[in-house]
Amino acid sequence: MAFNMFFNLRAIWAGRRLILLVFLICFQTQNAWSEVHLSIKDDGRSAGYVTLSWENDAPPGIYLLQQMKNEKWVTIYQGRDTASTFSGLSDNIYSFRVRNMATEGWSEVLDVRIEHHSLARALGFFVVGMILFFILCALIFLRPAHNINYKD
Amino acid sequence: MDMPILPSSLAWGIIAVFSVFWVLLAWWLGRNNNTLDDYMLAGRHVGFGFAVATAMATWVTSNTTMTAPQLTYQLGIWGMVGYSLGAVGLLLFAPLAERIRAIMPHGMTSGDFIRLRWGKTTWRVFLVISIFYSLGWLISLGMAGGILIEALSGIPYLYGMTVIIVICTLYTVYGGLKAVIGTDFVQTILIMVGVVALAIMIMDKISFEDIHSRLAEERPQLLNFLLPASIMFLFNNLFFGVGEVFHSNVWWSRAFAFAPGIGKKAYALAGLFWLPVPIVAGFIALAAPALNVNVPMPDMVAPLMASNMFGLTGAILVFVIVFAALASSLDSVLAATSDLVVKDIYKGHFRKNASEGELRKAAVWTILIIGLVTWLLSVPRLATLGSLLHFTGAFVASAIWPIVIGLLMRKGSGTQATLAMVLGTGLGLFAYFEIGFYVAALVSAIVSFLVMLPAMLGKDKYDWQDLNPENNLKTTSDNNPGNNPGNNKEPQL
Repeated sequence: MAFNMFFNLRAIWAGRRLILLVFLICFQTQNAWSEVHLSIKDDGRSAGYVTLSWENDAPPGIYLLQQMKNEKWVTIYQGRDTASTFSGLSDNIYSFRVRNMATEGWSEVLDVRIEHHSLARALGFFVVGMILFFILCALIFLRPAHNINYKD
Repeated sequence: MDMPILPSSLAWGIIAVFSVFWVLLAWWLGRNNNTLDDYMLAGRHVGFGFAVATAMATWVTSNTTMTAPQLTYQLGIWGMVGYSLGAVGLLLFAPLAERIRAIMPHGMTSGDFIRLRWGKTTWRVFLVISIFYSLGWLISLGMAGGILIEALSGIPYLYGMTVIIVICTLYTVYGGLKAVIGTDFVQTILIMVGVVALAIMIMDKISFEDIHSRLAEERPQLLNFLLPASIMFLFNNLFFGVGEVFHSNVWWSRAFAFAPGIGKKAYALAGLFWLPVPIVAGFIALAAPALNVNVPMPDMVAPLMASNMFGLTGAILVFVIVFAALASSLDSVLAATSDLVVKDIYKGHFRKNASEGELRKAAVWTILIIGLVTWLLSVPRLATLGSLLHFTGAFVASAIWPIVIGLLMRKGSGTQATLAMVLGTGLGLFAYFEIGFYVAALVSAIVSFLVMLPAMLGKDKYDWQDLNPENNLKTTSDNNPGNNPGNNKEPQL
């Protein structure tokens, strides 16, 4: 009797271990799937644009992309795409997170700092470019081709 | 990808119809190609209508129709206006094209000029720059084809890209430059009609107020006239366009191919026709936020917006326009790059005594090999169209001053021209990585100018007769283009 009880207990324990194992595997898989990785794919932060992309091991599904606005997460995209480009952003830090609707949990929050080039630097390039352009035009149009022949 | 608007069967149907048409047209146009001049330079007597059409169609590339919206989406109003400044390249090349035709009546490639004007070292550096640029352009065209087809129809990128490259390679092989120019004519008509239709549909469909209020709320910098990156981009794109046109054999081969007196008018008119195209194409990108369209990659914005705004009709329209635009450019770059490789590398370096027949065969094989290399490099989709294209800006802008000074002045030396190209490219690339793609060409042009500045102030040295070793022109009567071989033919094509 005691022997049978011992074996019954062992069987129950083994069964529980099996259930536990299955649960752990499922949990692990679920956990792995839930780890959507959010990253910067095309970095134009000094020009006010950025392309975010995300991926995980789960089968393709519907993704939910959220952005922190006024201290609240606001959904800015819901669909099958795995990337999104934001442009025309002003200097600031923008926070994003994403999840696959088929799985639990959000990605880690990605903070994107937009910091434009200084206006002085930009105007410097602009002015130099303009001067160079005028020189080029002068060279081409003030020395017309028909005035230059093999003898000049 | 969200659901594509164009059924894949319809997309394959459009591709098949146009592909068969291009190949048949190319075969028909190229059936009378007898000499190397016929094959590579369309017999050197292309008439005005075809000249304008080929210049226009080649310059309206998939970059115009897809990168202009990308840059508008990334850099706002100035991105759109800045891209249209690419027309300046054609406008400034117009007087140079006439000069090229007159001073090098026997010339075949831009490499010929560099070798004879600046010497062999500069020539080799130039070839590296030019071939690298051509490959970059070809890859961007192949990629654009794949991206367009995928965005509109859901057909995988690899299939679309492969079909585009294979078809264009095939018909370029069949007909040479005659086929390229002939198909360009038809493609120009398609592009012009399509762009006008698109502009009408845009004005009918979108409320400017909605676009403006949404941009002001969510993407304010796209409306900012003082957005630093786009201010830098303005002259960068101008010099990129100038560098592309001035150095590339695509434009030089046409300057040699156009009948005398045609080049200047044809390039100027093509530039004026081209000017509004990036504005129309780019504008639709600004409506993306107002219509809540997700843009996965910025270079997909044009086809995504067209299909969202105009439905199936718009998708078909954009599909046809961009397909025509990229085919007209891909064939031109293939043909011109093949000419450069055959004439300047194969004949210039390895087979100096190659016969005309041998060169003709080499040209065919070169087109096939370049097509294959383009396909291989387009498979991994390494960068966005805009950033890939502007990477080459550092290379081409460095050649502007050596070419302009070389064509118009007798001053300067090969060493200066070589240094201008090497240092311009090097520092342009440094700027590309350190600052952004929107300054690479500008920095390259500035550095190249500074290196060539002493040359402009130096003494006259060069003898123009050295540009024509074949007939060693010595008399003033030879200056009359009408006396030169190939110049006395009536415009035909």
